[in-house]
Amino acid sequence: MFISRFWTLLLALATGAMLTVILLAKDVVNRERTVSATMVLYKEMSKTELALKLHARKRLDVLLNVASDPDVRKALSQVSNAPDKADSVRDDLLASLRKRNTELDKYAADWLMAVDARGIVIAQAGVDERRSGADVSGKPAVAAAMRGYLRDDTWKIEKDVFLVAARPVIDGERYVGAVVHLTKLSDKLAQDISPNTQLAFYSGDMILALGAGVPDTLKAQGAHVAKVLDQVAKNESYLKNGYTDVLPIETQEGRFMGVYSRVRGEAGLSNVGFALVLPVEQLTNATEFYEKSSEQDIRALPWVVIILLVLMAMALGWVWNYLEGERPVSRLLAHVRALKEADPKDQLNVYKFRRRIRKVAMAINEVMDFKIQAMLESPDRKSQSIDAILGTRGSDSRLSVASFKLPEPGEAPPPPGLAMSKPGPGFGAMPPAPPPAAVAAPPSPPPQAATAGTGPMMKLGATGPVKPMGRPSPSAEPTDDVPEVGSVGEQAYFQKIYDEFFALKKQLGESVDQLTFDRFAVTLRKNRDALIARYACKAVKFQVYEKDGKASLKATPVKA
Amino acid sequence: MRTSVLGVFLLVALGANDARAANLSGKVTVTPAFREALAAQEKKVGETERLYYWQEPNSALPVVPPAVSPTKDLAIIIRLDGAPDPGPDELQTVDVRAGSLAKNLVVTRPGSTVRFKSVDVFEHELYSPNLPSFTPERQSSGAFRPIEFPSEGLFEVRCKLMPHFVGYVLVTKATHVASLAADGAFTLDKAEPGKYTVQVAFRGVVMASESVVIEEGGRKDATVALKLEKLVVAESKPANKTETPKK
Repeated sequence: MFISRFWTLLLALATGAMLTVILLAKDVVNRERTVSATMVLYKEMSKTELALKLHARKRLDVLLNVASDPDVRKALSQVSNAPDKADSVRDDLLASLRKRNTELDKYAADWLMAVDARGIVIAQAGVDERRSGADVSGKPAVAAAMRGYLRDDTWKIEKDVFLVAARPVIDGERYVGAVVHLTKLSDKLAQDISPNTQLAFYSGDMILALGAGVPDTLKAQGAHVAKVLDQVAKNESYLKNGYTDVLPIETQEGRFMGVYSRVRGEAGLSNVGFALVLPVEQLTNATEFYEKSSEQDIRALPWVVIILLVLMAMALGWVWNYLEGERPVSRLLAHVRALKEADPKDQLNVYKFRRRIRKVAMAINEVMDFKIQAMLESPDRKSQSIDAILGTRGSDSRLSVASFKLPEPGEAPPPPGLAMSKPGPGFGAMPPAPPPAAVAAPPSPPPQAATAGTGPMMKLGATGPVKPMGRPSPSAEPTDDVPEVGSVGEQAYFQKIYDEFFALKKQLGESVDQLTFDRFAVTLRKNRDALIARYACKAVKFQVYEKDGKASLKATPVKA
Repeated sequence: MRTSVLGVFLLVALGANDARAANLSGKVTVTPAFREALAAQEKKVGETERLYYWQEPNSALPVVPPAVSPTKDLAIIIRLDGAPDPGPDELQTVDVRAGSLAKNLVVTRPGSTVRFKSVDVFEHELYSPNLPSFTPERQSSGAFRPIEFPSEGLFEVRCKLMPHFVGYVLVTKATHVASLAADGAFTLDKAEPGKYTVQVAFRGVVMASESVVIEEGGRKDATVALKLEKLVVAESKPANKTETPKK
């Protein structure tokens, strides 16, 4: 399962990395949008300043048509010479103003004044036309015009704000007054001045006019623009430079950013200005990347690569899962099922499995041992032989014999554990071996009884399949005179087995140089002790036989 | 004998009357350089305060420098050495017109009250940035607004509704304040003997000053000539501080 786990770790890391990137990307996108909006707003502010400047220039230029009108010049000249003639010239002057104003077409004034040399309004068109006599000499633009300047300005008159242009009126070689052109700040003017970005004009905390901005974009309402006006008056940059830093405007409809600037002119000193507002969409969660993407964005994705990557990740996951999960389990299942056909006393060969599957196999073996023991201990079974209890093959002596391989001369001692093999669909169990014994008893309690010629077949240090139920050699036929442990005849019995084993090895052409009786006897005793401990038998019978062309020994517990 | 004594008294009395009858007069001349300096200063203010996009001369006639009206823009302050503190002035009224006070420079003494009367069709909200008691207050046409100036100093008078509006009140312990005629002439009748300092102020700042002595018993009028040549820009000072012109 190592690769599967490593793969899972890789996928988890990749997922975590992707999530981190997406979350970081959200913040980066929001920051980039803010920076971009800030730059756009400052650029638009410069453009608006330029547009207002050009608009002022245009108004000053078109006003020449009014200032040079002969009737206007004549009327103002008369009044400048004799102020008491103001009433007599007013109607004609007003008619001239109306006519000339109409000719200005797109730049027609909302309010057009004719002022005499004292700065007194003699006639005005557009607003309150019957009114006259107001003294506007103190207005800097009018005062400058009466001295010969062309000058623009902004005036705040009550709640309205006007863009102003003033020109001198010259008659002969002298200034006889001025004409003053006023354009009221309106939504239309705001839209004309700034068609790309929403432009608003404000006065104090009121919005005077608001442009429509670009179609199909989020629009700010007047209340939105006015929302931060209280901050504007305190803004350090506004007080120092005449325009604010870019201010965020949070609304129910969305997020905007705005920059506020004083208008040039007298009204600017009364906190009249313009604001440029831009919607700045902010990503609040990562899913908005998908929600706000267009079909074109989705189509532009490298779908083939994405799908291949997903399929590859999935396929690799399945492969690792099969190799490390399903296949070992299937093998275990097959081996377990094969047990049905095997000798009842056979167990699973745990060495054929790894890690957890090996543990499962060991657990199965333990359970099997436990069940067998339980059956042996049951009252109605106690009288039966072990072959009768464990299976139907009691007559087959081969199945009741434990076989083990003696260590070859110079061979390392076997690993701790005892492998059991079964002929045919071989299985083995590896009960914990009590060191240093080569043969270890299983952890389960030993069965109470075992008859001669019965018991699990055991192989010590076997590598490779055991020849299925190898038929014992004639010299290895079981004998009935198996001595009891520690009896006098035991040494002779071991000598007899040794001789048979020695002879068979020679016969098979194996080396017998290192095969001494002492070592052989030690091995026999160890295996005898292990089997006695496991099966609670009184003696162990050894048989010599040939297996795979080599001499081998088979041990059989003898109960009585 | 009685006739002789009476004659001496009459002569002394007449002589005394003749001495008091000496007049202090003079004339203020505004030089072209002063008006040019004024035009330059106005242009500088217009640009720094972003008052316009365009201010350019017309192509037909030369531009006229800004006018300085002696009656409206100038004031003569006369100080007599050793003269006692004259105390507050009587209540004086100043009209408020479009864009400025009818008299742009009002000179008064500490503790005096000046009454501002609006004669403009537009509303005003007059205030002084350096007199805390002179706060903005809506004033309709025809309405009065009395303001006390308790201590010496130069006080700007501004209007919240008309940012270009500016007037000046100079509060000083002058012995006399003379009005100017349209041609810049002024006269102080029956000036007492002593050393006089005659100053002409524009926008609350003394632009020129002359000293003259009227002798005890002298009969000849004293005359001074004051020229406005160099523009000195006023710096608003808070109340209780004397003015310090900045060149």
